[in-house]
Amino acid sequence: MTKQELQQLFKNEILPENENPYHFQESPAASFTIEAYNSMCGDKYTLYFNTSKGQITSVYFYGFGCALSKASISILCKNMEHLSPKNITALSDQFIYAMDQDHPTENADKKIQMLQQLKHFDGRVDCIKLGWEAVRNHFENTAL
Amino acid sequence: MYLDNAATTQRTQSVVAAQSHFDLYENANIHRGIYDLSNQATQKFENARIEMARFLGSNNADTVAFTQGTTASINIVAQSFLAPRLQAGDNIVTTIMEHHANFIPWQMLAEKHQVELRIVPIDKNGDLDLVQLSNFLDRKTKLLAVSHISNTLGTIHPLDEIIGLAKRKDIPVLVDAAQSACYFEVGVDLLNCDFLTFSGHKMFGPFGIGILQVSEKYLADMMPYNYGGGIIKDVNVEKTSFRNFPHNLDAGTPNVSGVIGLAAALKFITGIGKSEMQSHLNDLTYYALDQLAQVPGIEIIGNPKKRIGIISFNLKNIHPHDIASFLNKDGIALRAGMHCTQPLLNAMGLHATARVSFSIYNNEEEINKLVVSLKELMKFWS
Repeated sequence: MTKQELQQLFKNEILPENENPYHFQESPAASFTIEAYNSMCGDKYTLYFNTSKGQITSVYFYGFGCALSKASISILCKNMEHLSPKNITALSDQFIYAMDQDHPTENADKKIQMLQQLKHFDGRVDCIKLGWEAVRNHFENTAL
Repeated sequence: MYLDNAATTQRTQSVVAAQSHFDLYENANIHRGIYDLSNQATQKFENARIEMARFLGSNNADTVAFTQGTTASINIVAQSFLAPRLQAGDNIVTTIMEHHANFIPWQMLAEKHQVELRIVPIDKNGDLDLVQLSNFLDRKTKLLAVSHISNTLGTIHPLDEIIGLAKRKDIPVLVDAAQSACYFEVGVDLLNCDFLTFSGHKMFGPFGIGILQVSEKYLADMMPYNYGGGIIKDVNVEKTSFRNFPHNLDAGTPNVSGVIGLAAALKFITGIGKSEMQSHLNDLTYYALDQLAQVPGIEIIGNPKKRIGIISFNLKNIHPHDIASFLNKDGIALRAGMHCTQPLLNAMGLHATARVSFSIYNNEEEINKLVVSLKELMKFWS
């Protein structure tokens, strides 16, 4: 990625999401929470899940991290709403697979597509995957 | 433009050549062969130990052990020296400023042996609280472990004073000299400490080789910590007896070519002179502090009384990782994150910082470029 491409990416995609993240606030009354923490760099977020009848009704998040991790979790939170745990596991699995593999993976959401195109972003893939991995690890082992 | 010298320095051609020459033409296992090639390798290895002792101001090469690096050296002291003498009710004193390598080994020992870990705090400038340090040291203190220079803030700790406080109570002192051995005159005799640890790769030498120097007072207390060939006096079915320090640590085959490379690094450093290098680093540090202050939205982390070579900073609203990614596109290599000092950052209310760290090959022109890049980034971000 050239410097110009990096600037375009941040200007058009990352910074707007970073500056206006989806549901970026604490939600103490949430049904349960998941922590996304990268001990190598200190990025740390709490994801707050509200549930009803086996469905995720809304997801909030709050914490500290780089523009990429924040933008990525913002996109993740928006996409998890109204999904079942099974579907969230599938969504996060598919995303992480797409980030780790050379083969492109289809996804209807344009912002998720944008994130997946950053799989070769030197040294920053862990930032992008942070929230997705936390969510996958949680729902792989825990029901609602 | 390489500004991550606190992580590792670039190797000199002489280091690479010395290692490569050994690997290509002189390679043999040491202390075991009866043939010329092995004898020559042994001689080079042991000569390097003598040269290292001299580098540390000592004429006793038996105070010097080759290890895998600073982390290994500290862990050896933890397991070989300290663990056997800990009793419930004892305490270990370290500081909040330490690299994880000089923090976690003590924390683990404290937990395992039910002893207290006393952690010296810092003031708002990033200097150690020496009054608290002094209060922490008592007759139950079994070790004081402190770095010479903070790898995050660049603070130079007043070792004379700190070690003096411990010595008055006959407390053994370990100094982590990872950030200072290259530029400062250090050694257990010079500093009046008991354990000195540092890594070759932060002083133009190879990866995977480091030093543990032990004061003569505690040489006999250094027990083997892992077992195997090369460290024994006598092995019987009933019992094994061991050689003395430093030869009781080198179970298995040591990193011989690493030692050869490190010896070449010592020659390089001695050739330039530590005071010359220190002076350059000092000038560069204060030039950088002046120039960085002109970047809008910058916060320099810490303002210690004495500092050198390392500057941590944050830019308003820009995460250090994003700073590092953008500066990378300008060909600038700097570090972002917690720098293996999470307790320090927590204590300062920080999640992460960007860090620049200099060496002898850096110059003012590079700092000017750094400042231009940071200003451009701030403009772009806002």
